[in-house]
This record gives sequence, C-alpha cells and structure tokens, in this order.
Amino acid sequence: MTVESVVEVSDLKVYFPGRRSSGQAKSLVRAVDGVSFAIAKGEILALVGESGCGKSTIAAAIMRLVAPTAGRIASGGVDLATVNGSALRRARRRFQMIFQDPFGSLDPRQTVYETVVEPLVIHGVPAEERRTRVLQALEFAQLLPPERLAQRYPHELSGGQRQRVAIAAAVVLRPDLVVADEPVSMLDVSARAGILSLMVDLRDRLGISYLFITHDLSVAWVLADRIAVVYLGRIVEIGSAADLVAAPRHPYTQALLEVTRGDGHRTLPGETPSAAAIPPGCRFHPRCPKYRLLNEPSQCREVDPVLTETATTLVGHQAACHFVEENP
Amino acid sequence: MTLLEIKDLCVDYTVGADSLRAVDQVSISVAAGEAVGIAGESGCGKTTLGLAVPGLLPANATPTGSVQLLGEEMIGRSEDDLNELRWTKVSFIFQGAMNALNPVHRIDRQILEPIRTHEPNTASAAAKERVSQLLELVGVSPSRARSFPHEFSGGMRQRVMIAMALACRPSLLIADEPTTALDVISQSQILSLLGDLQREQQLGLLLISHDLAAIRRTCDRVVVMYAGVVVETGPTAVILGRGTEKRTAAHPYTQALIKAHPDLAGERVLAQALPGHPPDLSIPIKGCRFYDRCSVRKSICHEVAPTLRPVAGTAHLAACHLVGGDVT
Amino acid sequence: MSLDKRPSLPVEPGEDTMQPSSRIPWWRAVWGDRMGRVGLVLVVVVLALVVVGPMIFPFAASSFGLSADSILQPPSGGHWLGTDELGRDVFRQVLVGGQISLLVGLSATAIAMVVGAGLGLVSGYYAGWRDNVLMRITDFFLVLPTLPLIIALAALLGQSVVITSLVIGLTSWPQTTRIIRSQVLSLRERPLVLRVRSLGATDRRTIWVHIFPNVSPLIFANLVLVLAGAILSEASLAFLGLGDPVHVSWGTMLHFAFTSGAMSRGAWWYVLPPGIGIVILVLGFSLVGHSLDRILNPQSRGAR
Repeated sequence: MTVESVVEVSDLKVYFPGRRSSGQAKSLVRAVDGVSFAIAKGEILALVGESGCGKSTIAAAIMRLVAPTAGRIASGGVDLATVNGSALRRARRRFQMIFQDPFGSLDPRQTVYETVVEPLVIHGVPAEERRTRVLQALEFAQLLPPERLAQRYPHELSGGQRQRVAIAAAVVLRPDLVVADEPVSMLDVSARAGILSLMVDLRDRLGISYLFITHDLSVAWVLADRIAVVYLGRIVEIGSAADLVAAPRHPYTQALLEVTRGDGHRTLPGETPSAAAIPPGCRFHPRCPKYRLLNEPSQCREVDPVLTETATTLVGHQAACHFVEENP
Repeated sequence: MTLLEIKDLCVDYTVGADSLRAVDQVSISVAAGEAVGIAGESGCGKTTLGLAVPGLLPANATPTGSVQLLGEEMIGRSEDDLNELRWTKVSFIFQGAMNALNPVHRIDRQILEPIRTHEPNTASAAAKERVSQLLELVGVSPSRARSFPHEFSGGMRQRVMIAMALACRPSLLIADEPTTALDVISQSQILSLLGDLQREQQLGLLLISHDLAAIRRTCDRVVVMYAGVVVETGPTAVILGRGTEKRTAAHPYTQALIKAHPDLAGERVLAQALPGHPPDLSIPIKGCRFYDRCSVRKSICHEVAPTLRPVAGTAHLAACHLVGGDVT
Repeated sequence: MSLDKRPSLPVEPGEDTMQPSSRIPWWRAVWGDRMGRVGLVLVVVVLALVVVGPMIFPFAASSFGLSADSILQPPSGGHWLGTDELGRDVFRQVLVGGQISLLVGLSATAIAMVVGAGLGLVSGYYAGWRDNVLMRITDFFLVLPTLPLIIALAALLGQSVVITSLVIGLTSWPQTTRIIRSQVLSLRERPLVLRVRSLGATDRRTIWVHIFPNVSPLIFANLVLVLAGAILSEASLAFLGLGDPVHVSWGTMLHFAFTSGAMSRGAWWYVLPPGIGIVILVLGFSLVGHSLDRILNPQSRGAR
C-alpha cells in the first residue's frame, strides 16, 4: 500500500470449534478463512455478503471482540490480533464500532449524555473537557439542540436518532476507523439516507475511515469507495465500488447484483453451505453458474483460487476465480 | 371475483387512557389471482391492516368499518366463526414466521396441523400425501418432511410456513414482511415462489412490505400507506415502474420513498434524506399527515386533509392537493 | 401455532419489549396493580405496627407475673391481648416479636441477595468454566436442607438471631442466583455489552455500570419474594424451638405457646396474634413481590 493505511489485515483466520454432531468428530467452523485487505485513511471499504458469510466476524476480530485464530491486523505499529493489556487499550481508542440494533446498543438506563461521555471516561479524558466534547459530538451527529437531546433516554428517541447517538459515542474520541456493522438495516428506509450521509459527512470533516458491513449491495455501492464481496469466509472479489458494480467478474458478485437489481428472476440454486463443511477447491463451485456452463472443470473442484488482478478492469479490481476472464 | 373488500376500515388502539388511530378510513380490494402490495414504513399501519382481515388484532384494538372476505363480513364475527375461516379461506404469514415453528415437532406434523384442524375427515394417508405435495410445491424435498425446524435454514423454514399456509387451500394469502431476516438470495427465491404460487393457484395475495423492490416484482397493484392512511394507490408498473416503464409516482411521500432506495440502474449518488419522522397518531391531525416532511407543501395542505383523487383520470390515485388541480 | 405473544402495538424493529413500560416509581406501579395494592397495604400496616408500635406502647417489656393469677389471662383493659405463661403482656410481645421476625428476615435476605445476586452477575457475565463451577456450587447449596443444618449449627454454636439469619441466608441464595444469572446471560448478548467492551471498558465496569442497573429491578422483585420466604422460614425454625430464646420472634412466641400448653388451655390470644402476624406479613410481601415480577416482565403477564 502506498497510501498510508489505517489498518492492514493479512491472512486473517477465525475458526470456532463446532458442535459435535451425533457420532462425528468435532467439526471446525471456519468463519473467516484467510482474508486480507487494507483501509486507507479517509476511505470507506464495504464488506458485502449474506448472513453467515463471515463479514461480521471479520469486524469482531478487528475490534478484538473475538480472538483471531491466525493472521495479522496491523495498525499504527501494533498487531491488534495479538496485542494485550494497556497497548490494546490504547489501540481501542482509535477503533470504534457501531451496531445494527440501535436500541440494543444503547443502555436503556443511561441518558444520551451518559452514553456519549462514557468513552471519554474510560479513556481518562479530563473531566473539564468532557461536556464540551460530548455536546460537540452530538452536534456532529446532527442531534440538535444538543443540550436538550443530551437529557433524553433511548426510549424517547426514534430509531434514526438512537443510531445517531451511537455514532456520536463512536466519534467523540476522534477514532481513525469506525467499524459499522449493518448500521442502517434496522432503520426505516427514509431514515437510512440521513445516517449514511452523516457518515460521509464525518469522514469529510474528521478524516474517519469506515469498514462498512452490509448485505445490501446497493447501499454499499452509493456509500463506499471500495467494495469487498465476502463468501464463506473469503473475499471473492474486491475493487472500487463503481467498477465492481459496472463490471463484476466473480459469478457470485454477478448473482448478487442481479438479485439486488430485482430484474430477472435467475437466482443461485441451493443454500450457502455451512462454514463447518466448506466445499473443496473453489468454495463457490457447487452453486456457480459458470462452473456448470463450462461443463464442471476439475480445476474448480480441486484448486482454491486466489484473488488476482483482473486484466480487463481497473487496477485494484481483483477476483478469486479460475475463469475470471471467460465471459460465457 | 372480488376476494377481499375493505371499506373505510379504521382501527383504534387503546393504551391506558390514550387512544390511537392506527388505520384511518382505508379501502382496498383484492380480486382472485391478483397480487396487491401494501408499502410503507414502520408505524404506517400496514401490519395492523393485515391483522384486521383475519381478525387477529389484539384485545386492545377496535376495528370499525367493513372487511368482507368472499362476501362475508369479518368485523364483529365471533372467534369460532373466524377460526373456521382462517387457514381455509384466508391464511396469514407473519413477520418472522419462520421462527414460529414449534422446535420440538417435526415439519410434517406441523403442516398436518391445519389440515387436521380444519378438515378432520381427511384420511391419514391422503393427508400425508398432501403434505408431500405441499412441500414439493414450495421447493422443499418431501424426503425432508421428518426433519425438525432447526435442521432447516431460514429460507427453507419460510417455505415450510408457506406450505402450511396453503395446506387448506385458502383463496387469499396475506404475507407480512415474508422476506425480512432472510438473505438477499433467499429473499429473491421466496418472492419468486410466492409469485409463481399466486399465479398457478390463482390465489389472491396481499403482500405487506417496506421493500419497494419486493412489491415491484411481485404485485400488480400497490397501496402506499403513511401514518395510517392511504396516500397513493394504483398499478405497480405505473407507480414504481417495471421493466422499461418509467415510474410516475405522484405523491411526495412515495417519491421520497422511491428516492431513498439506491437505484443500481441510476446515478451513483447518496439518496436524499427525508428529515423528521411520522406524526404522533395519538394526537388528532388536521390537514395532510405528511405536511411536516413535505418539500412541496402549500398552506392548504395544513388546513385540509387531502382525499384520494385520480391522477390524470386513471386508476392511479393519490391523496395530495397538488394532484388533480386543487392547487397549481 | 400459538398466537398469544402478540404485542399490543405493532412493534418497531429493535423495540425492546422487556423494558419496564414506564419510568414511574415502583410503588406507584405496584399500587396500580390490584394484587400489589393489597400486598402494599398489608405490609405497610404490619410495618407501622411493628416499627412504631413499641415506641407508642411502652409497656414494661418483661414484667413477670406477680402471682399465678396473671398467667395466661385473656385480653383485658390492662393487657389488650392478655398475658402469656409467665404473666407477660402479649400485646407488647407481639409488637417486639414482629421486630425480631422482620430483623431476621431482612438479615437473611441481605445475605441471600448479596451472595445470590453477586454470584448470578459473575456467573452470567463470564459464562464458560467459571459459570460451570459456580453453578455446581449453587446446586450444592440448593439441595442443602435448612433444618439439619441449623440443628447442627445450633448444637455447635448455640441459638441466636445471627445463626438463624446466617442459615436462612445461606440456603436461600441459590434461587436468586439462577434467576439473575439467566437475565445476565441474555443481557450480555446485547450489542450494548459488545459496544462497551469494544470501547475498552473493563469487565468490572461493564458489570457495575451496565449490567447491574439493568437487572436491579429484577433483583428487587426477587428480594421481596426472598424476604417473604425468609420470614416464613424463620417462623418455622423458631416454632420448632431453634430460634433465639432471648430475642423472641413471632415464631418463638408460637413455640412457647405450644410448649406451655396454651393451646390446649384455649389461650387463643397467645396463639392467634403472632400466627396472623406471620401470615399477613408473608402474604403482603409475596403479593408485592409477585406484582413487581409481573410488572417488570411483560412476558409473564399471562394470557390476554
């Protein structure tokens, strides 16, 4: 990466012990199975995939809410995957997270003020500074007038407002990166645009980078600079948002796009396999339309493809497919 | 043949000493073989409307007006009468219905339940045969009839719910957000299934959803609700656009709702935020309910509540003073 | 398909239906509930009598009978509830005895709640192996029989209010632990806890600032019910003669009434007041506790 990165993830793996299912050996759930990406300063990277693909686990691993099994998460000279103690605490100042459920992520017994001041308390910001910083964060989040809204409780606010409180609490420490896990999925459609433009506004004003997790490709398209499509614990395609949507190269991305567009009723057959039983070779091959169209080449069954630059698209656009250039 | 005729339906909720009108003078009709979509965001009254048809409103809700199902008036009917009509004439698929399956009963037993209840004279063999047919109809292999719900994914469980709903061959199917909480790909599969079933079996379908794309691809007509009233109704192709037909939504709310959905076929730009939130329905509202958030409002909009009037003299109706020449 | 979990208003996604429905103080909520209102009245009446009574009616606490005539006398002007087998005023004893019953009940409850809620919080929050160990310890105490324990301890250390409180406290906490633990287990899955941990909050802070305040209504409801149980346990133990012989509670009064043959002699004024007192106090707290439980947990509101 030539541009200064906020975080560089290398070959991240998060495996969970599976449940023993009647007589068989204990399975391994490979929720994240070798993921690498970097986020530049001020960049919005979207992780797009369906539920269970591992995107939320990637976010949890970066926030050290779950311990990575292997790999590096390099940021500011530390490896977040392995650091502990006070070094971890200092690192936490720079990374904040927003969750999907606006009500569940707030403490119902705390006022808005208490919620937003908490990060300042935890990280030892002097008491004199706290009030101004909280009110400023509320202003940034467009919760106006800040003094009045600071006294409210979560149940007195709408879904959109609660999410703004969560955002205010996330930016009050001026983090480098905000990990947003489906922040608008539980909001009304008309409230979503407000939250998304707020996030962009904060990026422009405060230079915050975002790792934006969503299952909705259309939201990722309008919001993110780059999109990474995740399937069964791997990134199968990554590139700039405009380019990826205009010229998708991986069959899974193409299917997602078709479904999201809503025209054409062609969908993928079957269901996503469990992360405890990942298909051999290319993990997508059992459902891949291209695989069938090309008469089931053995390469797809035997060799696991790696992300490679695609020749016919913009630089930085990569896809993990053996037949990425074939366009049947 | 008209399956469902709702005329001037009002539903009032009493919470303590307060009363709230969740549905205000709504009229909708569904013909056999027709799919009607009810679009709107949370709190607009669409779920209440859906629950009112089979008489499933909670104890503190009072419906007034007329709901005629196949010529029979539903409001004021005794619970026993309603029970006879449910599942046999009208079926309801709830929000999150896939989680309503009994975890300790096998799938076949659960699908048999409505058959046993409403057609107790069915021979055991014939009933089992019907279960197999139903499972095949919804795309689940009949060999899995003896499985438990937890062995199925969310998408498959939703298919089982649809099978249950069709078990006693109802004429009308009401589905409330049948695809939320499902993967994008599964959502598409379920919507295709509903569309196919509806056409093949000449069912009436009332699809309640906040997802305009789902309604666009499945429904012939759309009813847009806001704060308890219908603000626009008409053919889906006209209002939401379909295929090559451009959309010509007339009501400002519908237009804002459409703009709030990022359109992959259009410009890559963040949607316009719709500031504010729906009005408090426990306070009587004079004038148009959308007044506070409308960008093209006039003074008459604050004084007089607009009624549904035709747009350019067609079957496309909108409740807006700017439509139909009240105001220039 | 059961349909009785319908919410009263269509619920917004993310709306928490486990919330207390309003921010009114607990006593007002309980007062609004019919069952709770009855309980509150009973409790307040008994409390008033027992706490304030001894101050208003300062009869000589232990004026022993001067002659055989003053033993087991029925109620009269001088002695509103008559006298006991030693000629002492029963009314005075009832007032003071109530204090002891309440005191032991409260002490036992305090022990039960501190241990019970504390372990419940820790066990539920950390889960994993710590939870397993603590739950096995809890199971042990759950099956510990109160009666043999107190007999053994009484034999070893003598009988006193302290011993009684201790024993009842140490055998009442398991039920609290289980209830609190299960609530904490569900709370810790909330995004709130994840968010706060991701901020860098220590476990101690998370438990104290976030989890504890959100389970405290439940703890309070449970406290009231444990109190009811503790008072009843104390009465039972005292009745069997295992209570403190010096600090006489209602249970002890019943014990003395029994052993002195007051019942066969028809001295109802000695037997009924403490008995009714126990019933009213325990019933009152039970009703309030159940009412609180019902208010705080909408899911247990029963069929509509």
